[in-house]
Amino acid sequence: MDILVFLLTKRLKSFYSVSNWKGISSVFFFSAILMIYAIGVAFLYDHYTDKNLISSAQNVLTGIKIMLVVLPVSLKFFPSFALKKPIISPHYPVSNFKIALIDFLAISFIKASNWILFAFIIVLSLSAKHLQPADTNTMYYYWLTGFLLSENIINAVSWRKYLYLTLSVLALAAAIVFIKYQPLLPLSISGIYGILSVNVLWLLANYFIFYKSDFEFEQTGGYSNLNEETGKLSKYLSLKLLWRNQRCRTALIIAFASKIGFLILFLSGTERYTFSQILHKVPFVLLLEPPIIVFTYVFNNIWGYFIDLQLNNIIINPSPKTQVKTYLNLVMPVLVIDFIIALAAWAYYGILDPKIIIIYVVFTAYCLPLGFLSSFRKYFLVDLSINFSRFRGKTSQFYSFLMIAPAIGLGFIYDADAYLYLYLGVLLAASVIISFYIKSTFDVHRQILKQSIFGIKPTANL
Amino acid sequence: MALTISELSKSYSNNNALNKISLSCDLGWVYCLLGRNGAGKSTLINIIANLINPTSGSVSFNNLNYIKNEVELKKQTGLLSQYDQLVGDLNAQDYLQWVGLLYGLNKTEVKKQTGNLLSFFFDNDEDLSGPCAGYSAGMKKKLTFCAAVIHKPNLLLLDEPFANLDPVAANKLCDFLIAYKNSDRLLFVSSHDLLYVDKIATHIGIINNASLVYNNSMSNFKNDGTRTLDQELLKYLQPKNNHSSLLESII
Repeated sequence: MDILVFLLTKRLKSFYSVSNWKGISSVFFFSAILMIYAIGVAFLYDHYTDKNLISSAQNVLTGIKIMLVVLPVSLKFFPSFALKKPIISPHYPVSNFKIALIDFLAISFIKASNWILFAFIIVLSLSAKHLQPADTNTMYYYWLTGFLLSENIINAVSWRKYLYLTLSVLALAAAIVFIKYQPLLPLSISGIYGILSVNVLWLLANYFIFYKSDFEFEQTGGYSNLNEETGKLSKYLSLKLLWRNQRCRTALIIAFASKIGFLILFLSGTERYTFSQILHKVPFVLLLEPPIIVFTYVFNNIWGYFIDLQLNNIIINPSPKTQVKTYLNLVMPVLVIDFIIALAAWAYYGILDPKIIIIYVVFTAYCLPLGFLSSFRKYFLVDLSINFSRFRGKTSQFYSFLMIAPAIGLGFIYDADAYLYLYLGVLLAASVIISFYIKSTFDVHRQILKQSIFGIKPTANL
Repeated sequence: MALTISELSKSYSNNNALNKISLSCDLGWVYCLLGRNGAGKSTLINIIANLINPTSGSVSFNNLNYIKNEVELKKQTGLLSQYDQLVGDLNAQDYLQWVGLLYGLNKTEVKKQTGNLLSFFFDNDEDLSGPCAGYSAGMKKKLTFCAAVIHKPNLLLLDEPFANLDPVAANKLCDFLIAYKNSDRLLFVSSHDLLYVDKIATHIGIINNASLVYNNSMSNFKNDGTRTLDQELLKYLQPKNNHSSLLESII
């Protein structure tokens, strides 16, 4: 109990400190958006109910329930993710169950995003006149389900327990399917409560059964391995670097899985609609075609994953050319995989035309120098609260915005060729200007990186 | 004997990290483990501390073992490992309070021990008010050591305790360790720092190629003072003989 009180007090104190104004503002902003959204959804639900459009009203609720399950999982991985570390080293006299409980109550459950979603349900239920108590109650179940799923999935990913991960992902899929088809099933309200309660208990049991507090201590190095490799220069060094870095590997897997998932989700309508018609409805879908996810999610902050490499760079002080070469060696293999995935999707959904390939190439040319520039801005540590995750590969919001915003705009002018090529020309020009800017100010950027690594704390989250 | 290690082995796929290590130590000893880098010293300490599990063999202290008496045994053990044990967001006082709570100490005890330990190991000009992530390597080492002894353990496991410490701090640590040993506790230390090992050790163990190749008292090891520690140690570690030709080539 003392441990829980200590942790909760420290976390709350550090969160509500004046110096954490950025964190407080972002939580306030997120809350405000969700509360306005809740009121909007309530009005829409009441409107459909008043007009006796019951199935439309039901669809609105279904969408909200799916959001309650999916959003906590998404927030675990986007815009950045942190693999779990043991919060209490296994040499302390605290049982595995107690560690899991402390993590559950004092680290995970207390997170602001959980309680913002909880407040969302309250605001929605108070604002919607026709919402039945049973619907509100099931929303609370789904809120709890989403939270438990997100914790189970991040634990499974962090500890590389593939059976656990499979079970958790299947549970997520089953929850979505159940929400979607539940109105069609002949279930009484007590039957629905029963199923949801069993589901929550099952996820809770999984959390504690699979919880592992000693995962980072195994060392596999030793004499036989060292002797074998002594004196040999490694082939495919950059590929090995990418693959052997667990955080980078996990980020890559998440990035590519998301890209494939989003492409399937948004392009699966091409049997009924043309690509232009899809773009007309959801212009931002074009964001998924260029390698934006790779650059914003993985390479935007490459030295967050390869900080040792960058430390060596600072000590050796290589020429800009050598540093660019190192960067390209790490980016290119990933870019090739991204291009193959995109190409396969375009071919499969029948939207492969020269225009989309040109867009891909221009965006690659635009993102490469931006990614290189952002790589001088070290990952931003969340140093004001006890998060017990010593590494946080937070992507640089400023550089992400510079890449995402032009890609979103592209969808709106996809069919107007003249504007599109002019737009791409501007991006190419920007790419050249940024490259010259990097060349002429290289030492300044290196200095910023030095300060952020060796200084007391980074001064900006650029 | 208080600490008994029987037939302890640890292997990773193709690599034997420890091979059937057996040894016993008593209270009032400072058992110093010596050996080359990667010989298995840290692995042995981490197994004794239950950070990693052995492939085979057993560890018991005061007739307690991790299978039957896990929590009780951990309460009697203190560890300074090579892993970064600190919670970087907390300052020294808060961190020691956190560790004290983990060991089940009450607030008064924690406060008293924290004050005493910080006063003993830190100078007045060392600023301990900020998060410990920003401390120097030596300060971090001293703070981790304070956390390892805050609950006055009977078995103190120390992996490279002198690394990163300045001579003043290292000598202070030696004084502390000798006094601690004299209060009938067992200290199990891994170190490359022979100067300080010479000051504190009562017994010596040498691990080479995953096996325990020497296990006896300090006086025996030094042949009653006729040899220095490093002369004797090199006999067991058998360094390669092609140094001079390589050196020429390198330089």
